[in-house]
Amino acid sequence: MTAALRQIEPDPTGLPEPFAGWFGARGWLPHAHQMAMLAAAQAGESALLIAPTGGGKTLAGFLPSLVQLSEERLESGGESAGQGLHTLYVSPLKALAVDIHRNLTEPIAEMGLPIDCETRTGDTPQSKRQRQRRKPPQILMTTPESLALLLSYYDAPRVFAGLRCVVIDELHALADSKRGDLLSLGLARLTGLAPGHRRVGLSATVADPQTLARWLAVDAAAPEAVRRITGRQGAKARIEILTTGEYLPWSGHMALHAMEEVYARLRQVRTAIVFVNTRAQAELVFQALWRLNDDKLKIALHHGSLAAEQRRKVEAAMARGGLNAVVATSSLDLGIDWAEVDLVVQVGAPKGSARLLQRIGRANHRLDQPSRALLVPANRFEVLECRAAIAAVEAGTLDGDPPKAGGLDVLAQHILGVACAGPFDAAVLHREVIRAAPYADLSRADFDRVLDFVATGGYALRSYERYRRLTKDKHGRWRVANINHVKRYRSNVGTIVEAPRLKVRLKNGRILGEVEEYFVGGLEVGDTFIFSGELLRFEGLREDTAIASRAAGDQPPKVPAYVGGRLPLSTHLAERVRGLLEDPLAWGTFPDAVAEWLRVQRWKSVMPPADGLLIETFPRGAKEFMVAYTFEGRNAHQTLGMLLTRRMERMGLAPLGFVATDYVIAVWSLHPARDLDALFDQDMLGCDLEEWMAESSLLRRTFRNCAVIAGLIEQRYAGEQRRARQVTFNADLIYDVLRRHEPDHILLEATRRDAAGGLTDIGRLAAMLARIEGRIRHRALEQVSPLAVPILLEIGREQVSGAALDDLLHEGAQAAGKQTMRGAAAGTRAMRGGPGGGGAMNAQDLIDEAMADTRQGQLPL
Amino acid sequence: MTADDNAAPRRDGADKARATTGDATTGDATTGNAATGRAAMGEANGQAALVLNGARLLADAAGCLIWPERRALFVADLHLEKGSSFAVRGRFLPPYDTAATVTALTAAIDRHAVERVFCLGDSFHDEGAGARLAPGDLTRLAALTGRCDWTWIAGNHDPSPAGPWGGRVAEEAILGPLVLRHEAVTLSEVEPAVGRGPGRGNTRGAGGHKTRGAGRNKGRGAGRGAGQGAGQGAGEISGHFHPKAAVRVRNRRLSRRCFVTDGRRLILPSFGAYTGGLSVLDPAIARHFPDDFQVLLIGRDGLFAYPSKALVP
Repeated sequence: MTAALRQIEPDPTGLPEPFAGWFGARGWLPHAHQMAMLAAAQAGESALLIAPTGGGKTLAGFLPSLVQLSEERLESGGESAGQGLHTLYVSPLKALAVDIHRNLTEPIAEMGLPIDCETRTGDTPQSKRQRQRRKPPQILMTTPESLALLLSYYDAPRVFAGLRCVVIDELHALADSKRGDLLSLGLARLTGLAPGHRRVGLSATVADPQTLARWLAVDAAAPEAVRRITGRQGAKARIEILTTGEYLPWSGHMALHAMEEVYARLRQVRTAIVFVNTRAQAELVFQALWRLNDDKLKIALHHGSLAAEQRRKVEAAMARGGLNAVVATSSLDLGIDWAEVDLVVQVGAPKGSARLLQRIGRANHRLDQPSRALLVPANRFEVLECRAAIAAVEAGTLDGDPPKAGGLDVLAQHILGVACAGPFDAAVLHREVIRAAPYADLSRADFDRVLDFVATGGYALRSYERYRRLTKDKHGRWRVANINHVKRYRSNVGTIVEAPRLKVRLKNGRILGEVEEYFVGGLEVGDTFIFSGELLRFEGLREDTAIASRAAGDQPPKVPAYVGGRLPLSTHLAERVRGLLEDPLAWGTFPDAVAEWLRVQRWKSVMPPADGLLIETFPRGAKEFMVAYTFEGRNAHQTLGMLLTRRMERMGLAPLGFVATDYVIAVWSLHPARDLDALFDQDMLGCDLEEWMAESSLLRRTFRNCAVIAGLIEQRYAGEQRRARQVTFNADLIYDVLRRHEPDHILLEATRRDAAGGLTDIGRLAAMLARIEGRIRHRALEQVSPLAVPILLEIGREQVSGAALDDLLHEGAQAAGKQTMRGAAAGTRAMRGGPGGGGAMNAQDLIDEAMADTRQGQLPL
Repeated sequence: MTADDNAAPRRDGADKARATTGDATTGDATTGNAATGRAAMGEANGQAALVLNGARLLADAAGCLIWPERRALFVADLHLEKGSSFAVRGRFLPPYDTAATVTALTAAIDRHAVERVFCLGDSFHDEGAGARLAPGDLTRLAALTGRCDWTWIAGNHDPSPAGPWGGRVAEEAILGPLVLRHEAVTLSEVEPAVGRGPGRGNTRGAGGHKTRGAGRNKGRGAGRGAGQGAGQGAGEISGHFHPKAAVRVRNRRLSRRCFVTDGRRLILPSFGAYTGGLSVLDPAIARHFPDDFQVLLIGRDGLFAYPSKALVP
């Protein structure tokens, strides 16, 4: 925290003692925004502080509470400040709460303030947690989940009665998530228990501060009650794109081609963070750097699946300046300041400008010096995307999705939590809930349906009346029917749902971390894989742990991937990329390979228009290809691919498959598509979409999350699977039954709302189809165009996850050697050509074809 | 090419070819292989013929087994009222599992026009399940048992599955060369090592050569002359384990419910709407098949045969 304060010219301040003396002794003066926060507190107003990292943001959040507690002690003449909980601090990360605690106890001790300051997380011992409820500290640092738990106890009214202030750190990271929904409901509860308290939000720079202010407000209908305070902006970041001397790849996402150049940069700086986009990429990049590490730089690896102790070790080493570099995923996007980081490397395109800004902010927290960042595009399109991201950061335009309505599953969990604390009146609780911004529009009818779900399951067939979880007492108030429901609520609180995982342990050694169960399912004993920065050999499963030993050898190892690891390109960046493509003047500053690529494209075809849609069609082999330059992100493109092929099937074009990237979608078929206006008509988002959505793995996954959060099924935790197998339900089975028998059930409603809001792909597709209507530019080419090469190279590389189940099973059964059962002859349908049928392309052939006639210098400029 | 290429024997009767329980569906999310279209799927007949200890049987993708010659249907692990058993403890799973299971069973009975039905145990999820049956479900179940010659084999979840829904109750049943029970007998219990693994189906025909004392049937009652023809587990059809198996195709792991057989004995998949599964590679199942075995994976509409060595964990 000390590093966060700048030494500036003396200036008389209104700080009381001992604060003025403490600042003075260090030759410091408070920042303007710190004084503004103090003023807001003195006026009794809530405040939203938006400031870059390194601006003394955390102290700004706590200073008013420290001053108030200190003054109250002086007034009372007592030894101790006021009794009871005064300030509650909520952080999205357990580790951050612990760090902030450490950083705050230091000034408290130095000023001799008699203020108790404690953390409360899942790691806090039971005895301490009980004592904290009996005699709360004045400042308590916790997480949204621990707050929900505290609120579920009968004594919550007493614990929170004297609460004066709630500080929410990294608000931008919390607000638009289910954890944020849970926290917003907890805060609404606090407003009832401690009506006079004020709220303080600390946030990084965001696209729409108004949304955050509304989220933070005690009453979502009155966001103006939140005073908005902006910290001083630091020096502009210096962002550079690596112009590789290597051959710039046409496709792929790992950027391993550039690792020598990245390593050379790491040697020139003191400490760097190398951000990547996925955990698999983190492992590969770490391996690549390690192989190059002749200088014995201290390089570490940090991602969310590594064992917690391992991550803590890396963080501590960073904090004391003991590392030269750490390769990290978004696991290090948030956290305390490391002043010594002087370079941030982003490997792969950043996918969004807000994310890039957040990551760059992790470097050099001295505001008067610019942060330095290096972007390393993995392929040609990513060069464009990196350009677009830098332009967006420089222009200060950030991407941000509109706020989503709060999840009904989270509300169900909250209602049960409220009941655990004591009886409640439905009308009163509804009024309380709609003061939380995510639930401001929640109708009483929907609230009642969720309440009914909590009480009896909410099924039209009222068969569970006699097993009620909530009952009404004689005053018409709702109560928990028995103590078992309370116990179950407490052991399942929270909104983080993960895919089933298995621990990875070294033979006779330590736990390295966790990988998803399905990955282990695909390993055979003797297979090698990289994890936790090591090359490992799979030795087998023991109980619920994958046992591994250190391995050596050259056979290409597998790399664990994790569901949902990749973020799609943001709408905002997509617009900027389209703009760049259309503006040849901008190309002059591009790397030669990229500029040539675009020039040949313009010569052989046309550039994708910024406000329309370019579609190229060309034959290749026996197939007809259609490439659409839609730029709507992978998720939206997957949906689009399904809709297009469905429609092409009906048109008799015999589609064979499709592949999608963030930028482009390619479909191949036996017959060429001609009526593209009809193909891309807006009515595409009709029945096909609904039908597909209901069956899609996306909706099934969403349902599983909702069912877990709402308490219908329990999550499987690593290490508990043997026990859990007895009681865990396959969410798919429930989904199928519920969908057929009660499609309007509240949990399916919650699922549909989540899927529609959470992915925003459908919204993106609808907007795209509307935008391009009447503006499709079709180029019927004789061969592949330069811009189409990258997507064609993805064919055969992308894992095919969407082929219909039975076709895959059939293919596998054939491949298994036709060893069918005696007389058995199930399913002898032939595959009609999947992406495999499209054929993994020979890269050099494709490139030669696309760029032909230019190598001899015939390209007209 | 269509499913008409399938070599499944013709069924008698004019029943429809489709054998699925679900609605016609449409492939999965994400990347895609477009052309798998419904046209190809819709005509899949979802049945596979197999020979078990001489009996010519038909596996149905709904998860039941038919013996056309005897107009008999075998099904296991219905687990009726599993949903409500959880509701008792405050977990409100959708209360439609019994209805869904009975509907699927009715469809299979109609499709194959069978006259005899054998439910191989764990038909009811617990001993209180019968009392929790919704009146409508009870009526439909009673109508079914009234239509067919119906046998409930006792299971560990439902040791005495008798009730107002009708049908007869047995510990085991014998039908020609087939013995029907809930849980497969352990091979060592039957015939210690002797002659394990001579060719398959060597006890072809009714009343096989090997007999086994009734008292060795895991302590269950004599039933109906239990053990006739069941030497070395031959001719045995059982349930209990809810087998499922996984294969890897195009780098994608697909895990499905399945039939397991080595040509002499067979374990049925679970039929109930809420029943999960146990991997056939788990020793609990695999020990019943000391030699190679095969599985019939249940797809969305079709059945797919894989040898045991093609399976992944």
